Amino acid sequence: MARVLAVGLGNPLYGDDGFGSCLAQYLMQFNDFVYDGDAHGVGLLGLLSDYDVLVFVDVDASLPPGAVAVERIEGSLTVRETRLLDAHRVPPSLLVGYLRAMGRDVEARLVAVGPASLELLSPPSRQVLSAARAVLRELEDILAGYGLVLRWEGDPEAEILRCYERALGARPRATAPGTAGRTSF
Amino acid sequence: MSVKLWIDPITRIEGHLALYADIDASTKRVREARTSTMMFRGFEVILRGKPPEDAIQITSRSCGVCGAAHANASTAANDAAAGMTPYPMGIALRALGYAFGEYLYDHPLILNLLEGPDYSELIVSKLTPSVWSAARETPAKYSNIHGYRTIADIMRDMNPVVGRIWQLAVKYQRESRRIGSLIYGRAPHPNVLVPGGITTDITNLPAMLLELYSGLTALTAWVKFVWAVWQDLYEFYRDHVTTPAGEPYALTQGKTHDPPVMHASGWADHPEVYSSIADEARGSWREMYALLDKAYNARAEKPGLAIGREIYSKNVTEIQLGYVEFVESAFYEDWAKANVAPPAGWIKEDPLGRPLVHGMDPLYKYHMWNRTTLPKPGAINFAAKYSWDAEPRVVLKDGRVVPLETGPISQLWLDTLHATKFELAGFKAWESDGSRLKIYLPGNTVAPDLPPGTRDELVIEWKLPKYSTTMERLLARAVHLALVAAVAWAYLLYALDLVNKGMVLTSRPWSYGRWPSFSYSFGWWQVPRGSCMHWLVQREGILVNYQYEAPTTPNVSPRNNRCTGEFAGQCAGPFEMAALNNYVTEEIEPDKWTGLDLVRAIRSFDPCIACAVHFEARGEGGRVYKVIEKVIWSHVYTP
Repeated sequence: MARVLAVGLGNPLYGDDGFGSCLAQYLMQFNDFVYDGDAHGVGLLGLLSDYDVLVFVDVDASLPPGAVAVERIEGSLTVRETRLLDAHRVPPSLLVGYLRAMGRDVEARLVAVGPASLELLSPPSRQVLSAARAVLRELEDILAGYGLVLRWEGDPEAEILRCYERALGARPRATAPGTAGRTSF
Repeated sequence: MSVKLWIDPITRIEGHLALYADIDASTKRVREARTSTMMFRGFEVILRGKPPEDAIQITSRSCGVCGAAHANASTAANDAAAGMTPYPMGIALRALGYAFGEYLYDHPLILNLLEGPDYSELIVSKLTPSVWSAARETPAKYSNIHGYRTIADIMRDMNPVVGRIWQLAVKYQRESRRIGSLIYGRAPHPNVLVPGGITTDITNLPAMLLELYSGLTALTAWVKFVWAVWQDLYEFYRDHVTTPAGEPYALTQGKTHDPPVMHASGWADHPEVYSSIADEARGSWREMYALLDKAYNARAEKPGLAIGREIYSKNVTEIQLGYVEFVESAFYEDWAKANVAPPAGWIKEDPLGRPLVHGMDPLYKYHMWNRTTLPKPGAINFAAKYSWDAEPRVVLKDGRVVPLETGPISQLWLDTLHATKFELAGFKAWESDGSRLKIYLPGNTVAPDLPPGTRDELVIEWKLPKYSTTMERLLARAVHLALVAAVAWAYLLYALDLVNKGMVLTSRPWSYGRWPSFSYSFGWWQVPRGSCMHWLVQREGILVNYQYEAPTTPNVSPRNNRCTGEFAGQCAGPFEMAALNNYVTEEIEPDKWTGLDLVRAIRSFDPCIACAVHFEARGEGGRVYKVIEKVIWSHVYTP
């Protein structure tokens, strides 16, 4: 049976970037196949190499704010040289590329949301928060394909806001479109 | 012709560091080198007004890799200021937590994930093809342990991401942290360290220690593998690679001060000695301060300051009397010149009444108990201020002022010069005679994915080198890794003994807010990057001053004119000295030089994976791409 892990990525100190991490923190309460990858970047490789199927939740800046997309991660990397990279900001595609370069035959999907603001200390945008339920539905569908039942209860948006509150040390309010990037504590 | 290299940032290190170098293109010799840290942290500013025990958690956040380093140094400072130490089992758990939670994961990670790529086939074959040819023809000497036939075989497996050594390092660093978390509760910031104790849940202590036993068995096999690989690389660069001046690469490139000034703190307190000093002091923090030298010298690794092969002092309370920090080249206001005293006023004596900085006025105002962090940002000017790193120096009893170096090499240096041994529960971890150090690793250490040669008993011998060079520092890290594994065995066997005797109490009773009306202390702890040093001043349970030095602080110190005697002409931190004492060995046109030798020199001190910029493995011919299966819009918020 395939070993499956759903991984939320991101850093709530950078506005919408923290969405995947916060959603994973919420879902981890009910599902042992969900993991909060935080902004650990390449530090996650050891853990991820234990799985056959990875389903990432992350923002994708190429999408319009609030849009949700399901993306399949294809291709592989062969390593010929090295250059610069921030070890914390490793997108799912590169993590999967590394895993395949390490010889792990991993199947990978990404449930992505278009961010409105990635500014330091900004709260999550209203567009991204309102995408939470759509992301959950897509996750449910994908995981059901592997025989897994995604469980959750309560209000996902409120739980995500609480996650930002823990990270930012204050009660954030979601920003409305047009004001994204401004902190409103 | 001169070639000017400005490398900013240097990758695969912790934090943001820039390096400027001026190189003579005809001789390939570096003529001038400066390093600049362009990152202000300001933890000292945050800490004033907080409870002392909070410093353990707050300073831990200085770094996502070595959080336990600061937590342990701060715990030592807290113990001393509170006049309390843990019971033997608590001390053993602190040592084991640190061995697994930091050293055993961090040393291999630094060696193989961060420094390894500089010695991998990818880099060596591209920038130094003649070295690559020699590596292909040079048989490895330690094949019986690591299983590689030639040096080139090792270099090939050092390739990032695809190389076997790189992948094994990813696996074993995780395993070490997993085991460390059984004690620490989490990684990287342990939440169990408190003044006079450790709050690890020991409900099922025997089972936890057995888990440590099984983990250490596999990790010891891994440690043997890593040591053998790096011993081979070191010997290859010593015997088969020369600089443009015709000198052995490993013995000259990246040399620091002459003679080296080595500082080490030691780590892993002796369970009985450290526990007993609290009893002897009968609750008086000042009485306990008088016993700190005894406690530090009983540690599993030994403290001290050495100049070349001479030990200046083994006693930390004596060394710390002269430990000062200047800010002539750093972006800070000089608090002494501005007459900004700390809230407790200028401290002139240590708790035993000995004058700080040997009574020299105004130098005592630069002692760490008297420091006030006053940031003064500015543009880089090599003639004035050019770094956020201050200038640590030690003022010796005879008035000499010296720079200092710290790292695994400085710890092995002091262990060797102490000419002593360390054993617990009948297990001898290491012994030294003043010029050589022997480390004893047990046999029957089985790890299924490592060669059979990693199962046997192994005695590693390290000879005290003349200088600290790039390759000597790398070798020292690999040797120190082995030493830590041996020390971990000693503490684990000791802890099992305590369980058998029913002596499982860990912590002395301490309650939140219980502090002497006034006390001040320091706490030093040797960590993967060198000495981690904290100074604490508290009044009524509130910090009135807290200053600390990361190991890199003295290492990355900018230049000033404070040093005297033989160090007057080399009054810079080891990073700058190591960059300066270099030839370019890249076999390509000067306009294409990448600064490989310079970054090798810098990375050999303390690169780290968490906080900075690192490498990206770029695929040539390969590509990762995303195929969008569907996009959902219906829920999108509209105001």
